[in-house]
Amino acid sequence: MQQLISEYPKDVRWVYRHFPLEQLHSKATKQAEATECAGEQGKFWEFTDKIFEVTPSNDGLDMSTLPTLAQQVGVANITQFQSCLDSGKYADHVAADVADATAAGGRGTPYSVVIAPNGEKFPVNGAQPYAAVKQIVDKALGS
Amino acid sequence: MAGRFTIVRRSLEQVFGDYRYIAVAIATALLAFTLSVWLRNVSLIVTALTSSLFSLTDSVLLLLRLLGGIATADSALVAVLTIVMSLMFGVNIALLSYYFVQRRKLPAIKASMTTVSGVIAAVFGIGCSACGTLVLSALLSSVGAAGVLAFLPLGGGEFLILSIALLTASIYWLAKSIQTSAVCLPEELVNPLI
Repeated sequence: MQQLISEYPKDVRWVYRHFPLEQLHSKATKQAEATECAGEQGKFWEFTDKIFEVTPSNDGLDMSTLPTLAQQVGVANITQFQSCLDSGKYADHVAADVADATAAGGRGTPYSVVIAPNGEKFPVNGAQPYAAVKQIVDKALGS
Repeated sequence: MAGRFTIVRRSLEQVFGDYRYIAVAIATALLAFTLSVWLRNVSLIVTALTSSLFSLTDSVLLLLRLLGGIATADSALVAVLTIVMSLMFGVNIALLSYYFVQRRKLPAIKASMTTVSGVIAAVFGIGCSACGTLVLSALLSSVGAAGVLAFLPLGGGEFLILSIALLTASIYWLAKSIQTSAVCLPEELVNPLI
């Protein structure tokens, strides 16, 4: 996605939806909320990248390290971050994103939908080769 | 155990001694592999094939590019299991074809059913490592039991292992069927490769 955005900085917009699969990754929902808490301090993408970078498979991330990770990506007020996380204030937001992703046909992650200027939608299931995704984007841009 | 290996080896030598069955095995394995990769993106493929934005050449190119998903969307384990499952399926169909051509009938129910069961298990196992099986998660979600996947450490890849086990059993039963003569003949006539 980052490669795509850097290649098409003026033509492609990346709209992100949280889609934690609770039944497979029990910690993912809280991690999604944490990214929103980091976003309050302007570090949504940095924290999201960090979470994906350090989270081992099968729910291996120690959740007590979230504030440390936030600090590492430059979240300035860790007390506010922790308070935000504890309050669960973004739980509804994340749940709404999950409902949105499911309604869009998502059954697993990653799930992307390329929306052409004419409104035509191309659902991409899983991490597909860049050449395939680029071809879909090129065709969509030609609409 | 050694006897079983001998039965399988003899049958494989007998069947694949004819290059046409090698072609059947390769073509079927390629078909199984291709379908198992494409099945994950059925909605994308249908959209592309029916979209005015994609010419036929574009669609074919996209289909070819999506085959690379085996390397990007799967864990190494699931990718290897998918390839092994496809090869086993190819061998199964070659043995089944050989038996049918020789005897003009389907093999015993045990051999036929293990092949069918193996294919069904493979369909359940198709998916990507991050999202669990596509077919299974859709089915379980529809009955409100998606949480069952949490108990599968490979997120449904277990079904590919089950599929490979069933296809292995099927190969044995088919091999045994091929080695079992329909009529009583001297061994050298039943199995001329000995």
